[in-house]
Amino acid sequence: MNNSVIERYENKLNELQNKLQEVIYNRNFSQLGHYDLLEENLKEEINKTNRIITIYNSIMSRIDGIDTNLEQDDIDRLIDSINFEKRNLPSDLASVIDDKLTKLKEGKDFGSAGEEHSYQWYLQKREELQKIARDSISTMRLGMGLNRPSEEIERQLKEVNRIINTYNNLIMNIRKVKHLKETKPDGYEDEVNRLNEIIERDKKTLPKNLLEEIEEYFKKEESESKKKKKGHKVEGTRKWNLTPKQKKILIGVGIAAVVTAVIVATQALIPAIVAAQHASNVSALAGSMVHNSALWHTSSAGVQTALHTLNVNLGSLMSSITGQEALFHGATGVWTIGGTELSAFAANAATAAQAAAAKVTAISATAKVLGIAGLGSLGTGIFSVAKDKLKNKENKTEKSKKTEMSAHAYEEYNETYLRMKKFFEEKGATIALEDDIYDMYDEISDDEKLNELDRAKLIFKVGLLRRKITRQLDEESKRKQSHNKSKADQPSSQHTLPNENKIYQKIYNYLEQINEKLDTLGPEAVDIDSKKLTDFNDLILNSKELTTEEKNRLLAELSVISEKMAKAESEEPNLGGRSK
Amino acid sequence: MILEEGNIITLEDDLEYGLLLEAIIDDQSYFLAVKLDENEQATDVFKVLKEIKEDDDTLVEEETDPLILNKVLEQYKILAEDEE
Repeated sequence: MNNSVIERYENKLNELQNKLQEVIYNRNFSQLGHYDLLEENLKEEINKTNRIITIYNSIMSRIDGIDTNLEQDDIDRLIDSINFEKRNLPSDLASVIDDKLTKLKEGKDFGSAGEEHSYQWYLQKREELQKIARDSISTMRLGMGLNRPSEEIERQLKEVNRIINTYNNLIMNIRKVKHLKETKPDGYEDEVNRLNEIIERDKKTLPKNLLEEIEEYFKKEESESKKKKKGHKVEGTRKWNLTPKQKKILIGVGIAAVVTAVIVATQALIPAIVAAQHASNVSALAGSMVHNSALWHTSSAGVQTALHTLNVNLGSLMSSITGQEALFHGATGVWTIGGTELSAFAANAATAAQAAAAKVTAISATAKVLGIAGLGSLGTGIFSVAKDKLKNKENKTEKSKKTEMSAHAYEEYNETYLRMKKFFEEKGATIALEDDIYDMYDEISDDEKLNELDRAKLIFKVGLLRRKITRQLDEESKRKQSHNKSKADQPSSQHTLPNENKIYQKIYNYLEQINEKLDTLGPEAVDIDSKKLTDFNDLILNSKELTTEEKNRLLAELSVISEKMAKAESEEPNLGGRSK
Repeated sequence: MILEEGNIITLEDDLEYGLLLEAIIDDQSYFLAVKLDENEQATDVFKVLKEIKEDDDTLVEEETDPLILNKVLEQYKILAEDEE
C-alpha cells in the first residue's frame, strides 16, 4: 500500500511530463496563446510533484539510515526534523511516513505478523535481496531517467540490514558492559549507564525471538567460560608463624595423608595384580599408621586429633583390604589388626609385601606407584632409578668404600645447602646467594666422589632452592621496575614517599636490639609479648614503605625473636596461630 | 603473587591453607598444604595444591592424579629429611 501511494505520484509525474511534451510540440505549430499558459501550469505542477517525490524519498532514506547506536536525544532530533519536513507533504504520504516511524519504534517493520525469523534467516534473506537488487537493475522500468531496483526490494534490504546491524550492536554493547563491570576503569559507571540506555532502546526494535537468541548466546558463552576456569583464586598470602618442631610434625602427618590418598586413588585404577597390590598396600598403610602413632605422643591436642583421624581412616582401609578388623583400644592407646599389635603387624606386612612384589613379573607403570614399604617410598622416579643403578654396581668391598666416600661428600654438601636454605628463609634471596648456589650445583654435578643416588638427591634439593632464589629475585626486580616506572610517570609536584632505607634501618635496628637482649638478659629484659609481635608482623606486612626483600628480612628477625620467646616460655606447641 | 612454603594463603572463599613443602615437577609447583581454621590452627585436612598462573592471578587446584602425587611424594620425603 505504501508503494502504491508514492507510485501514484510518480505516475502522475510521468503523465505531467508527457503532457508537457505534447504542449510544447503543439505550441510550436500553433499561434494560439493558451499553450503558453498551459505549459506554465504544467511546469509548475511537475515541479511541485517532483518536490513531493524528492522530499518523500529523502525522508524515507533518512528513516532507513537511522543508526540505532545513536543516543536517544539524537534520534529524537532526527525524528523531529523528519516531522518538520513531512508537513510539506500531502496527508497520504505523511501518513505512510508516520506508519514507518511507528514501526521503527516498535520493531515490527519486517516480516509478516506473527512470523519469527532467526538471525541466520536474516543473513540469508539479505543475500537473496542483494542478488535480486543486482539482477533487477538491468530490468527495472525507466523512471526519471534512473535505473533502480523496485522500492519494495530496497525497503526490505534496508530493514534486513537494520535488524542485522542492531543485533550485532546489541551483542557488542552487552559485551562492553560486562567488560567494564569486570575491569572497572575510572568513570566506568557513566559509560555503563549510557550503554545500558542504548541496549534497552535497541531491544525494543528487535523481534522477541532475536532477543532470546542473544540471551542464549551469552548464557552459552558464560557456561563455556566457567568450564575453562580452574582452581581457586589466591587472594592473599602472609607469613605463617610455625616453629621447626610444629612444621616437622605437620609435614609428617601431611605426607602420610597424601600416601593414603595415592593408595586409594591407585586402587581405583588397578583392578588386577591383587596379591602384590594388597601386600604393598597393607605394608604402606601399616607403616603410615606406625609413624602416626609414634608422632601422637609428642603432639598437641589438635595434632593428636588429626593423627588419630588419619589412623582411623587408614585402619578402615586396612580392614577392607585385609578383611581383618582394625581396632583402636582407647584404654591402652594401641591399634590391633586382626588381634595383632600394630607394630608387629607392620613388620610382618613389610616382609610379606617384599616377597609378593618379588613374585610379580609383569607390573604396569601405575602398579609401581604403590611401592613396597614405608612412608612415601613408592618405587618410581629418579631416586628409584638411582637406587637400581647402585644395586647393579661392583663388588661388596668396593661398593662399601664408595658408599662411605659418597656419604661423606653428601654430608658436606648437605650442610652447606642447609646453611644456604636457612639464610634464604631468614634473609631472603640475594644475588650473592644465587651465585653461590649456582656454583654449588655445578660442583655437585661434576663431583666424582658422589654416587648416583646421593648426587640425584643433592641436585634435586639444590636445584629446587636455586629455583626459589632466582624466582624471588626476578619478582623483586619486576616489582622495582614497575615502581620506578610509576615514580617516573608521576608529576614532580606530587608528594613522594619517605626514604625507604631509613625506615627499614630503624625497624631492623630495633629488632636486632631485642634479639641481643633476649640472648644476653632473657625475656624479662624486653617489653614485648606475643600480641606486640603479632602487631609488628602486621605492620611490616602492610607497610608501603618497605620493599619485599626488606619485609622478608624484618619478618625473619621477628620470627627469630618469636622462637626465642616461645622457647623461653617453654610452652607445649600450638600449631601456628595468633597468640590471644 | 608468589606462593612459598612457610606462608598462609587465603582463597577467594576465605578458606586458608598453610603451605608446608614445595615440590616442582616440569616447572610446575605443588605444595603440601594443610587447611587452617579461623584461629590459624591446622585441621586434619591435607592437600597437594598445584599452583596455576592465569594472567595476573594466582590460583590453586587440588592435585589428585596418583602418578603425579607419587612423584611429588618422593620430593616431599627428601625435603622432609631436612626438617629433622
